[in-house]
Amino acid sequence: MRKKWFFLFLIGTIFFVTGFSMKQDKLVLVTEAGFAPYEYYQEGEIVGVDIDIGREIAKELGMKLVIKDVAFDSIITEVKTGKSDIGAAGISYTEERAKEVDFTIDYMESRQVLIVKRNSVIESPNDLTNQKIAVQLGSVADTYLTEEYPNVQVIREKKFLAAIQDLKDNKVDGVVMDEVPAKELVTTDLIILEEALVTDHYGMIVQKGNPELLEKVNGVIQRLKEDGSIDEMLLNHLGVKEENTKMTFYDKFYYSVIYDGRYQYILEGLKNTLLIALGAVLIGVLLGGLAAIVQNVHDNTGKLYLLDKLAKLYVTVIRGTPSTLQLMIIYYVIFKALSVNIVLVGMLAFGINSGAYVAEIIRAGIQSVDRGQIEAGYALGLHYHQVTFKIVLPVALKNILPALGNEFITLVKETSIGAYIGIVELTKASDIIASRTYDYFFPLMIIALIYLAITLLLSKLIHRMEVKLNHARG
Amino acid sequence: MLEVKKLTKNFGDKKVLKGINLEIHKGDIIGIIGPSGCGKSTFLRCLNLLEKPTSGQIILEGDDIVDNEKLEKIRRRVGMVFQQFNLFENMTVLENITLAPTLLKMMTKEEATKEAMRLLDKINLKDKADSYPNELSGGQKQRVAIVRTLMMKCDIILFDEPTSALDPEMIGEVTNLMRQIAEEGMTMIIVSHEINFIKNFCSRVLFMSDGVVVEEGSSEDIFEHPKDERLITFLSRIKNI
Repeated sequence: MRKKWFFLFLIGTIFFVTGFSMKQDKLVLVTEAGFAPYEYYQEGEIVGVDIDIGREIAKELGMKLVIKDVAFDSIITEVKTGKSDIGAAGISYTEERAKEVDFTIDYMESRQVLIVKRNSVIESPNDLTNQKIAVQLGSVADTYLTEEYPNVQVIREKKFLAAIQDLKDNKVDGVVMDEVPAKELVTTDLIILEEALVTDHYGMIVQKGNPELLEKVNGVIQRLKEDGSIDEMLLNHLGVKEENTKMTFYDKFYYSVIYDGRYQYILEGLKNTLLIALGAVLIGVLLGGLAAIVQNVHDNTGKLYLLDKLAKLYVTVIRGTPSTLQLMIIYYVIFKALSVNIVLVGMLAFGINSGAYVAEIIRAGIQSVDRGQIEAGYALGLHYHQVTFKIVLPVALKNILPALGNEFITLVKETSIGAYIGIVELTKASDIIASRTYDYFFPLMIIALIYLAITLLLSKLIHRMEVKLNHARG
Repeated sequence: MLEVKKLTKNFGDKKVLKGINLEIHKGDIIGIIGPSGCGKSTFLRCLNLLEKPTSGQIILEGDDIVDNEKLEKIRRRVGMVFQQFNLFENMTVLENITLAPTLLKMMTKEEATKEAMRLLDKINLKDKADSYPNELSGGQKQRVAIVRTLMMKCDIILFDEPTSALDPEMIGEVTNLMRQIAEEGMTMIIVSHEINFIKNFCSRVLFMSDGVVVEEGSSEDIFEHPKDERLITFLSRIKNI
């Protein structure tokens, strides 16, 4: 019996590992696209100054450039763990960061400026006292403001677009950010103050202990700086902002969905959301089923002591920790050295997460079966497996299937945290679109409607299934 | 045919059965009476090993079955009818009756169906073959449960309070069926609160109290000439009701 389980596990492992390939001849550049002109989405592709530089570096190294889009606060982890080769996202040098990764020479001067409403009383950084100022979490502006302006209330947003939105909505009195992208997104009601808070320098980052790569990257940056290529790149990427003042409802829809093929992000997101949810529910049923069966066999026969303990540990740990954390641990710790299809990682992580809940669903379903009917089965001389398959499971399934359907619905929504490791699922798709239109409202509403449509459809299917099951069993 | 020697059963620290001895011959109809919690149901459940005895022997046709590995084979020979009927709710009447004999390869599906229909006809429930248990009355359910046990061609049938969960007007149809089976020579052990039924129906009666058999004898001995103080008290209480 024990051997059989082990083989199942082994086959599963092999199936997964063969799905991944070790990386080769690829230069993986990690960024957070949504910081025009350095990196942003255009016609379904990530472009920008950082990307142009990255392409030059890849050419120099004779490698193919692969671009990866993750959350800004994940970029250092990506490079540190070696999942990506270069980080380029308008990253300013700080000593703390330099402890984790190696910085290249700087390629861009960055002025951190203050953005305020046109009629604001703040006219220069000297006017800052105890106002509320929004920044992007972990950015230079964040560190600088926190240290130099202890009285200012720093509002840390995950994205600087959200910071700008806060300003527009009068939730904050100003935003501090890099001047170049700031110019890209200020609208008529906002102004950028002339005087910079601080001038900083952007560098790219590479994994520590790779002087060869660092030297080559430095060489390329030095060359591009000297021959004026970087200034040229900057010019190419400036002025791509779309005017978004006084847009009608239709205009907003047009810019959020149709213009520049933006529906593609939504379709891609929808595909990945559904794929991950489906894959995860299958893995979850497999793992959860195993965990439930192991525990049930142990409860009834006293066998499988160790596996039972293992199953209980699995359920406890998974149910006792946040799923975001599990996702990041699986991606950044377990699959650290492997270049893995990120959607597969998502499926696995959500599947492992779901399995713990499925195990409990199945156990509850089994426990809901009338003890008397099970005893009647034994009294008739049936064996454990006959009782399990002919009496317990058919009845338990009636309770389990609808609950599994609900688990699938939960999973569809849960996948939205996949953006943490750079999966383009629905929520990330709306982020991408918002990073171009500088308007959160429309893309968020659209994907909210899509989520709602999916869950409504699934609920209906589950309801039908329930009716059918009840009918079939008298 | 069935011999029980010094049977004990503990649930944790609680001693429920404290050494029961009993000898049963083919065709015996044995009634067990006693106050609630005296261990009579537990005793019955030990006989087909739904509860594993703590110590003692149960010898069926010469073999001690307590530590027998082939638990399932033994249970086939010792049928059991439950208070709550315990029909498989997700199966039709016919499926309930034919499941075990076909799964255990005692009969082919055709043979089992044929036999099931014959028995159902006997209890006038042929037209309910395709009904689900929740469409039957309590009396009908219990008769189906008895037929389900009969299909196993067992040597002995244990009845654990077969009429306790029934409305009074349905008790008759179940006891009549039990009489019919008895007349065909089946060996039976019946735990019941239905004192009149036990009195008129059983050839031997056991009175249990606090985990032991206090008094044993013919129906007449027990009900007309009780000796033990506890039995006398028990019977007088019942008469008062």
